[in-house]
Amino acid sequence: MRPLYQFSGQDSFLHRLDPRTKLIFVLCYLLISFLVPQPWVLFFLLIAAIWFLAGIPPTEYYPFLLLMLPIMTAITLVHLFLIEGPPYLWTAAVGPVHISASAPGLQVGLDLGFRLGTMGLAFTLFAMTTEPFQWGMSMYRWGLPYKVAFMFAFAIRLYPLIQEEFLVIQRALQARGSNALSSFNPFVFFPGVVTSAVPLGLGAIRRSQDIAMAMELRGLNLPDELGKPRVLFRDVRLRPIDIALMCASVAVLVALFSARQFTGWFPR
Amino acid sequence: MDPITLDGVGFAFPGLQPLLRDVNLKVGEGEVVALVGPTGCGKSTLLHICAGVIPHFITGELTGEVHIFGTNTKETSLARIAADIGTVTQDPENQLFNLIVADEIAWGMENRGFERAEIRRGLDGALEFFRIPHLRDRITYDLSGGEKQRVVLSANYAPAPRLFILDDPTSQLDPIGAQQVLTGIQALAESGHTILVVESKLEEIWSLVDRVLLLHNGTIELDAPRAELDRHLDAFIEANVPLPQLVELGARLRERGVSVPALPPDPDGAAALLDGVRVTAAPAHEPAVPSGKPPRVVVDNISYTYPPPRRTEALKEIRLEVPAGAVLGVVGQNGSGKTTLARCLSGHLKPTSGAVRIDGKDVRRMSVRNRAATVGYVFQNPDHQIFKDPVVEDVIYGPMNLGATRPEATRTAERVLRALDLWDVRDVHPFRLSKGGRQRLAIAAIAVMQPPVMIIDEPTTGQDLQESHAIMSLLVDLAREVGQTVIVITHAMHLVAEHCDLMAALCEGRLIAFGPPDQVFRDEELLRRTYVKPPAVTALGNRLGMEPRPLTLEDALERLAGPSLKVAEA
Repeated sequence: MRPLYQFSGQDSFLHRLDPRTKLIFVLCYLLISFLVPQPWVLFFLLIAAIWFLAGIPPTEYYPFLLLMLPIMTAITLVHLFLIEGPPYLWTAAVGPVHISASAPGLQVGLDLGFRLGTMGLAFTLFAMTTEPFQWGMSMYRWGLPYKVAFMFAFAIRLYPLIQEEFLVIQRALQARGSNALSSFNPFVFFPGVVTSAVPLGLGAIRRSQDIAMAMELRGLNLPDELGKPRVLFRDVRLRPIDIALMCASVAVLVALFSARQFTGWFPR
Repeated sequence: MDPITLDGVGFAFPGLQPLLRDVNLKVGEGEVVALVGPTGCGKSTLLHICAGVIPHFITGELTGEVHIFGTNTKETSLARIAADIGTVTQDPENQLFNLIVADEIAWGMENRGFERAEIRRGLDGALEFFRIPHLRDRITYDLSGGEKQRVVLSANYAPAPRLFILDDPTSQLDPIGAQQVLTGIQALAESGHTILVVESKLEEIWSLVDRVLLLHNGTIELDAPRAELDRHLDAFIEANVPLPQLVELGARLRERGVSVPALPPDPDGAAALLDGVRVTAAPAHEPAVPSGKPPRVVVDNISYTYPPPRRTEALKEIRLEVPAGAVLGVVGQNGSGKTTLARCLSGHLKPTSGAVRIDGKDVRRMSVRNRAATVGYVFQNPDHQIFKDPVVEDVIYGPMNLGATRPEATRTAERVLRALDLWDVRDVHPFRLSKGGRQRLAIAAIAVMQPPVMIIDEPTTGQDLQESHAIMSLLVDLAREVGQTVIVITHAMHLVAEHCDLMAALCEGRLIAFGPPDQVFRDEELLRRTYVKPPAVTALGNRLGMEPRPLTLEDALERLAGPSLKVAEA
């Protein structure tokens, strides 16, 4: 299993798109999920897109789906019981307390749950198909200072390492008889997080010092010293397909928004 | 202009006693110079001074003059000094900043303002030079340790620096990874590059090195050509720095009045020089654990396949039994299944088939607490296992999780801390201990729970010889005194030979050899499949047909310095 939100390193239509194209597509998609009355369609469409356009089957990111499932269920249940009907799917009285599950509550809960799932999935699509340095350099091309863009990309590059370290620390805690980081009980889990912060934090500080030194030695500040511009070996450029997709994403968003506002489609 | 000139150099970290004093050194164009010394003697600090990291990145009191290609490092920026130097340190993970190998190698050239065509040429050249064109488009975190370090070497080589500074670049690698990196260093040396290298495996770079510097007591105590090193055995012994085993063997034989030529570090070369020698007979090695004892650990035909998308078949039908009180060394290249086996033994992974039983109980059926009380697991990096401050609190954390009261836990902790030489630092913050001290603390934190089985992953990484032997001796004592079964995962064959009762060699998930080291080390052809080499003296014993095989230098010395020795003409 690959750590969550880690670049998958494949070569596919989605992987080849410019990060800026994917970012605009993801933002439009998220907004669209709030406009259409059937967000579950968008959720499953996204799973299909990741599978067929990026070559990543759901088995590669099933922990994310498993993580989303209780959250989506909880949102649905809260709305199921808090939003009043009619029609009611089920009612009961426990002493003076009247409990009911309503059909509108179920509908609203499912819609919100799937919208949340779509958001997470859209970000997963972006992260799994976008090389962080392409992302960083595309931001550099849009005016972000080089060092900021590079460090931003580097932080994402470090993420899997930190996740791996977290797993080691989890096992080390188990070896000391503590199940804290594997517990679903928040009163056990959060103290465990605090305990694990010592090795994780100190490790990160040590690592960051070594990395900063190694970057200096490889010439991170040399262009400033020499006053010579930095030439990017692998430049990022928008291709016609990127521009077409960006325009299409925005156009669909505007069309749906207009349809909702002015034509009475998607009435909810 | 000499690449490195140090004139009366001294250095002290703020508020501390001087670490280096009156260091004088010249490294000429095209020279390959090895720097050796005990742990903590200042080798890395000296390299930092040569690379300009001191005084520009790490501060402290630097005295004397440091010139790199004639430029005084105090008067030039770090970026400009570093432009002429390729620096490689121990951990490749901290030297890879990009995601794709090609981007990593190109990055240094981008920073130096190379044009795109130059970058492409430099990239292709570096990939070819280190024979890694196949890695060009790979993701860096998916590479093995050896591949990562070769990418780091390539990235430093691509902008064509005039000097290489290498700080123990193979210390964190498995045998195959180390071999790959050493091949890269050999290519650098043969193409006339100037290299200053700290390398703990001196025998591996023996043929490349022109001079060796011995750093001890804060200064360079010895600066000698490689061929003359065996004349300075006393200096190395005093500094507690090992010479290659067979080089030392030759020197010590001569000290005992035996007429032998200087021996090379490789067993074939040494055996040829000692051909025809008659060795003193010795009794067979006595097993420390009497046979016939019921097994404590039973690995019953286990296999393990990682879930998708990895799907690697990491273990294939492993069967072995380890008695109580035995020390087992598990060896094999990275990816051979050592860590997966350890995780199955400790119950962190459930075998796809088969079972692991400890004293008859299936490990996977135990709760987290029961498992912790039954199988102790000491991870490779001690810093991942420090949860409390000070030392004594960290040690009692485990027993208290298992239900011990504070006074009970403290009583047991005192015994363990005293045994591991940590009692005097019980009130110190764990991160103030040396690496060896933190490693001992990690062992103490598990030993204090008194599990019948203890698994230790690479307990001697980054330790010098003395500390490594001290840690292994402690583990053996635990096994002997309280009847613990100790399982050590290691790449250090000399430690397996000297301290382990049994060894298991894994190759591609299969157990290819299991038995006492004296027996397993005989089949070098078989062990080569998993990149395991017996200690040089044992390999020499294999070539000379010594019975039983010598497992330590002392062993070999006693047998070869006997009265009936005949030495072939050199």
